[in-house]
Amino acid sequence: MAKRVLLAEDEPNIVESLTFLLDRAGYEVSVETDGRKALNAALSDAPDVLILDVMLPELDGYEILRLLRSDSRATNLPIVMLTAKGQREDRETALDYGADMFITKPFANSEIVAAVERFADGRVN
Amino acid sequence: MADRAHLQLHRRKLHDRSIALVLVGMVLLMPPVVGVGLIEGDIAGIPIPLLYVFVVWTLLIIGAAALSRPLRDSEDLVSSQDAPDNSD
Amino acid sequence: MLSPNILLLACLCYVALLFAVAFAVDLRTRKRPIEWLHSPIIYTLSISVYCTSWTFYGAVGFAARNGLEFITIYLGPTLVFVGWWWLLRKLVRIGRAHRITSIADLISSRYGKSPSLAVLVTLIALIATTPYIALQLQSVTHSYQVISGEADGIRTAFWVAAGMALFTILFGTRNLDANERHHGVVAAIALEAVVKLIALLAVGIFATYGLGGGFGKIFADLPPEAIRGAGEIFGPRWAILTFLSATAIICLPRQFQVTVVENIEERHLSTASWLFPLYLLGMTIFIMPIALVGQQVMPEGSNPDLYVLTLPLAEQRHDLALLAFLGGFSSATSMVIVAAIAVSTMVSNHIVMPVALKLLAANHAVSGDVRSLLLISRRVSIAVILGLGFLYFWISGGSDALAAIGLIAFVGVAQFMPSLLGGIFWRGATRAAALSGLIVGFVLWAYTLFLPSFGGELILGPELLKDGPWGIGALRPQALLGLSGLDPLVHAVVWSVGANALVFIVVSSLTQSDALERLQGALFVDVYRAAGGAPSSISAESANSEDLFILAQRILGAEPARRLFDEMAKIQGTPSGLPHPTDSVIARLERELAGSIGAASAHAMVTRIAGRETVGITELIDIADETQRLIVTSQQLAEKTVELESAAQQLRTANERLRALDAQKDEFLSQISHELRTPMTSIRSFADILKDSKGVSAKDRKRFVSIIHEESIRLTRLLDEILDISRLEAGTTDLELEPIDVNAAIATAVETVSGMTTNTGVDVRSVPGPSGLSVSANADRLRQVLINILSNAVKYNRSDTPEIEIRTENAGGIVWIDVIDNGGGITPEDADLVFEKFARGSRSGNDPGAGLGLPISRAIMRAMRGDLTVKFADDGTSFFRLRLLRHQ
Repeated sequence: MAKRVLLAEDEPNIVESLTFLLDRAGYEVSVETDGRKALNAALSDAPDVLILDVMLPELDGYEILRLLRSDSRATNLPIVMLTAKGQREDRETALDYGADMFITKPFANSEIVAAVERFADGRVN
Repeated sequence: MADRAHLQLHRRKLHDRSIALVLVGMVLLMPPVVGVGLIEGDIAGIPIPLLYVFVVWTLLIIGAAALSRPLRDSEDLVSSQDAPDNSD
Repeated sequence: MLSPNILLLACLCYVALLFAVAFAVDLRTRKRPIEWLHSPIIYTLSISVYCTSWTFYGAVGFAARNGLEFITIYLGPTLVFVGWWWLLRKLVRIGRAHRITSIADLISSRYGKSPSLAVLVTLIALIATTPYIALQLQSVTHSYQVISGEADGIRTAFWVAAGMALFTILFGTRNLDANERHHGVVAAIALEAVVKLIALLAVGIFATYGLGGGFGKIFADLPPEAIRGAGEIFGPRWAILTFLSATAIICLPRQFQVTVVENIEERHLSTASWLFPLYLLGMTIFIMPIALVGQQVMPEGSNPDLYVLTLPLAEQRHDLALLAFLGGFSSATSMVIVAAIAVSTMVSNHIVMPVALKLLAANHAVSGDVRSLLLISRRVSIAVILGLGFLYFWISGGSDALAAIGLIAFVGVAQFMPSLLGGIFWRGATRAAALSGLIVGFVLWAYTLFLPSFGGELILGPELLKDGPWGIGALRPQALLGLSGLDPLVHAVVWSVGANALVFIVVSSLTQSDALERLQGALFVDVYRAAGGAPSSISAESANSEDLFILAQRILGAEPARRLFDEMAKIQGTPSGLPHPTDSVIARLERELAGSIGAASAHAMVTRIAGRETVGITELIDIADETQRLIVTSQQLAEKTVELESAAQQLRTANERLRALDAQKDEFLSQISHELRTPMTSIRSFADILKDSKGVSAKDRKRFVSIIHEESIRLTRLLDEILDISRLEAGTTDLELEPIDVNAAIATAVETVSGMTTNTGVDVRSVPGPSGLSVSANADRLRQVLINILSNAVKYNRSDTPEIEIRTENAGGIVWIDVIDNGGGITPEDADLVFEKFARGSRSGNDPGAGLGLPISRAIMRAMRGDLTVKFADDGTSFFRLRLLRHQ
């Protein structure tokens, strides 16, 4: 059974490229474009990896991260944060809140795929 | 010391004389004493009252002139000429 | 009679001589003191300014009317000068030690530098002097008329007054001697003294031996009344007149001026003590003979006041008449000149200058040249005083009422006597006493003598003089409280001087004097001690120390003053008590005080108390100047402080703004970074995919390339926008404004977005403004804004039947374009947010390009002197409003 990746991202073109990439890498990708729906999906669908953009409508990425980490259902959910801001404080905030990885846009495709592979597999193992 | 005391005494006498002169002049020229001059008659053709006043007056002037220098010398008088301006 | 031309010529020559003498002496004295001018003879001659034309002409008239009585006017001064050691010497010493400039200055200084006292004395002096000056003008005028037959007296008087004013101003105010000495004037006065003595002696000798045949002949077969006068000659009136003249030789402003102020050396007084009485004797010796010969020779009814002139004229001795005229002229002019100098000094120092200094201080103007101000005020005062004299003469019409003025003025200035004598001989005399005594004396003088002398023509009417005010007999001016049967003059003197002295003594015993007053009193009464080099008594020293201590306490405060004095006492080796006021102590104290009150003030105060030296008008001016500078400096300091504070405030504000700007810049950069990274992410990601083209269908590839293309365009546009808004906000873009037809511009913009609207089925309606309505705008930029707003309205419209309405209105010089859509409004909270760069309204959703559109539109509108805002209609729906200036 293919590992499932939840992609919380509101930029359509980025969604398209990541979906294509991960699909090609053999993951089952589901997409949410606003923060609230992303949070619900992350809790109810129990994906193997969550790719979370920081700038989301309705609920921003940090808020989702904080809520997920305080919920028992998602304590161990691997979360990869995406941000276009890329300052050091953002990275530290994300890691403090319990993100597993922090990737700055623009990223190399391999970087994303490698991260997803590591966390998805790690979880299986 | 004796000299100094003597000088002091001399000064005081001078000052006493000067005030005596004024007092005598006042008494002689003021009523009622001046009324003594109101004697009818004349001396050398000059009426006695007129003569009296002018004679007293003249005596006062003489007295003042006599006292003037001793009084002036009895004490240092202040002068603007102490330090004459010789810039020229 | 002499021809007016010759007379005029003689007068002018004589006046020119006086000018020349005064000028030469002034010039020489400046280089080097002139020996003979400093002789006691000149000093004595200058004192003879006492003999005015009232003596020169009037004494004969006096003698003709009242016999020997006239002599009292010269006996009083004789007694005063003979007794110089006791009074005049002290006055001169005080005048010198305290740099006294006038009798007003002396009295006010004695009573603690009281300004009110100075003003009072000055006013009394002015009131008493004015008629006296008028009297001199009258005598010159009358004598001129008699000798020349000229009728116009007023014109003569005017030119005499003007000439004297000129002379006095020229030589009386040439420079500002701190001691108020006028060498040139004194020399001219001395010359005039010689002229008047010679003239009177010449006329006297002519009358006595030429006409009367010697003394014996004149006095032969004379009725006793000729000598004794009509009444009881050696009675109270005799005593009172002698007293008055004795007072006058001290208190008349001009006598005080020549005797005390112009005194160069004290020892000159000793010569004057006998020489001045001798001069008086010379002036009076032939008065009686002239009067008697005049009465015998002259026709019945001729004026005895002019015998001195008319006797030689009647005998055709024109040379003698001219000499007599010049003598009378000399007497009058010397009096007027010296009186004008003396009174103008008082008026200027005690009335004009305090007011001027106060005004200067109030205006905070830089006080500038106080000396020139002082000179101007002197000159104006002189002109005013002579003007008053002339006016008095003019108004009184030269009536005989003037003849009595000499004695009336004597009684007026005699009011100074109690305060003056009390001030220099009695330490207990107080300022309140001096003030009240002077006021009482002055009022009684005016009521009993001065006003009645107008014969019911000034203030007091004839009925009042006869029956008293409101018919109360006890208040009759010339018989106050029923004291009738006395000679009016004696009555006035008894009342005014008596009451003055009594009030002075009683009030002194009832009132306290303040510290400064006590100090000045001590310095005046003990003037010989204070000035005599080494202090002769310990008590004087300790008194000084106490006064210095009090002064220091006042200025430094109690505790610092005590510490300072303790320290100084310890240095002197006197651990208990106050230090002796040695030079070093005084210098130290002066330095300490100077820090608080300025050097001039400190010096003036300390030296005054230490009794070394005293304060004169120049020092007071220095003090005023210094105070002025202090005021200006402290004001500048205060201004500087305020400036500094406001500068600091501005700095703080600027700093805060910079900080806010910095934060904004950080935020902006962060936003830009974010906005740029987003399209770049897509581009890079798809480029990666395309590079490693495994598993990418041809269709996908084409699609991905088009996305890359699209995102590159977005990126470029974004960069353009960023530059654009930066320039707009920095104001570096100068938009060229031109008249734009609003309706046409809207139509064009609607046309441009028509593709978009047609696709989305948006209904665009326009309510145009009045045709031809034009605004001041830039065509391209206005279109850019309109398109931005319209496309936003299309893009974000979530209504099923999307509509856009454009409404144009104008009022005044303003045009509004409202863009209203039904696609769901902006919440009031977001109204400002939509104009933030890169911020997206809650409904802006997924549009990637909305970041800078509205901020740029607003910046453009503002650059066109308009604005772009979100407005809310009554029903809560929102719309965009463009505001523009109407093109006039």
